[in-house]
Amino acid sequence: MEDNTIYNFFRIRKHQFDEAPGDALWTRIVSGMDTPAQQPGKKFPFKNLIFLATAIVIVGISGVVLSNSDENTTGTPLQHHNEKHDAAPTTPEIRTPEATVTKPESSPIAVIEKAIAETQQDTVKKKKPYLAFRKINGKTAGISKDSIPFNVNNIETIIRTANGRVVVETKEKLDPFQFRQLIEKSLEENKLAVGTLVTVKAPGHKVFRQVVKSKENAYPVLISGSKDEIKEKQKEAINGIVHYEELIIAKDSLKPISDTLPKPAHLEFKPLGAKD
Amino acid sequence: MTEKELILNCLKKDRRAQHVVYSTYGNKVLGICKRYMKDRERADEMVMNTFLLVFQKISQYKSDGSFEGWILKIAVNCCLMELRKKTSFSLEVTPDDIQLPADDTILRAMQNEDIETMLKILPEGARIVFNLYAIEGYKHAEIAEQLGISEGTSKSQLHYAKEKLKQVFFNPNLKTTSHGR
Repeated sequence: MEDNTIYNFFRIRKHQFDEAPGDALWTRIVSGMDTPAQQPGKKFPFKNLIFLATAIVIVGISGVVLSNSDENTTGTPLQHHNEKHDAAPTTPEIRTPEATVTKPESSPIAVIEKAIAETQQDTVKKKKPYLAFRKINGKTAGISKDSIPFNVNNIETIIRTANGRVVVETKEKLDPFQFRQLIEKSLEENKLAVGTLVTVKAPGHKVFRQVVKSKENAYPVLISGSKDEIKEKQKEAINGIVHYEELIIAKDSLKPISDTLPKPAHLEFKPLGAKD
Repeated sequence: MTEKELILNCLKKDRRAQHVVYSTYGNKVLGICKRYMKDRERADEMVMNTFLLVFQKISQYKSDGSFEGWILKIAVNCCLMELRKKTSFSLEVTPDDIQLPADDTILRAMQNEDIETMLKILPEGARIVFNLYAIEGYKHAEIAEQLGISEGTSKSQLHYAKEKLKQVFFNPNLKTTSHGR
């Protein structure tokens, strides 16, 4: 069969599809015309704007978060901005160099002008950075910076403590041996704080985290002169350094000295008012 | 009311004139939409979109062509815009794409020359290309441009549609027995 025969067959009979649309459809068309914002194919005209706004918000948030993750910065860009803002004179006509240089500090006019300048500076509303975006520092999240930093081979450390957390941090570049020393020192410093999570951070090293174990899990104390033996056992390498853990084979120190409790001192009960 | 008066009144957003346009050309518009769209609801939706566009853009109509032709072209474009978003023109045809009717339905369709049933056996992509080429008279280059496909895809879809229709409806050996699924 020829192709054209098929085409003609369908072309001649295409009117079979024709059908008068109902009044219900007309009603829908009229209601569609009454709402001019809705064009066919454009159901939501501000779709692109919303996408653009969302993209801007996401870029902004990621920018703030990335700038916070910078180790060298101590605050948020907003804080920096505030500092700059605070430093900038709010009333240039009062704080002109001539005014501060020509008039002595002690003169009453200078004092009044200074007071006015300070008052006007105070009225400037300071923006506070969002708490969620602030880096964990001495002002946020209940972490205090009050711990005394310790030095390990002249490595300067910053210590932050909070409930159940100790963060030991250094900005210096450490070699693996120094980092290991810092870890050991940090654990040593916090050995009594059972259950505390000790975190040690140094640039270029994987963050070290360890919870201080309870006394039961700690090594038993060696009794001098006992037959306890100490063996060193190689443990896994951390940051490329193989370190050792001490294995104590207790022979004397864990033996009970006596099966019974010591007897209580003998008490004599005397009647009240009796003389010795 | 002449066609010119009708258009002028539609420009003034006269509801009565608009209804006259709807009732005069609505059957052909629905016919086109039914040919392109798979189901009746989508065809109705396309009719609605067509008339909304006609009444919105009626100022753009130039009287050098026929008013009916202009409306029907809008109807075809509305259907193609919708189908372009959802139709895959891949040549891999799954059994779900072809809904072959029962033998007696095929025979009845052939006896009644019911092209609506005949076209239903084609997958969507092939049906659209067949509609555009065989019924509307578009060229492959135009179809490719309209649907955002290559000319080769248009040709292969048409070939598939033709062969399928020949095999099912225009094969004298299979008229009384099976249709060779």
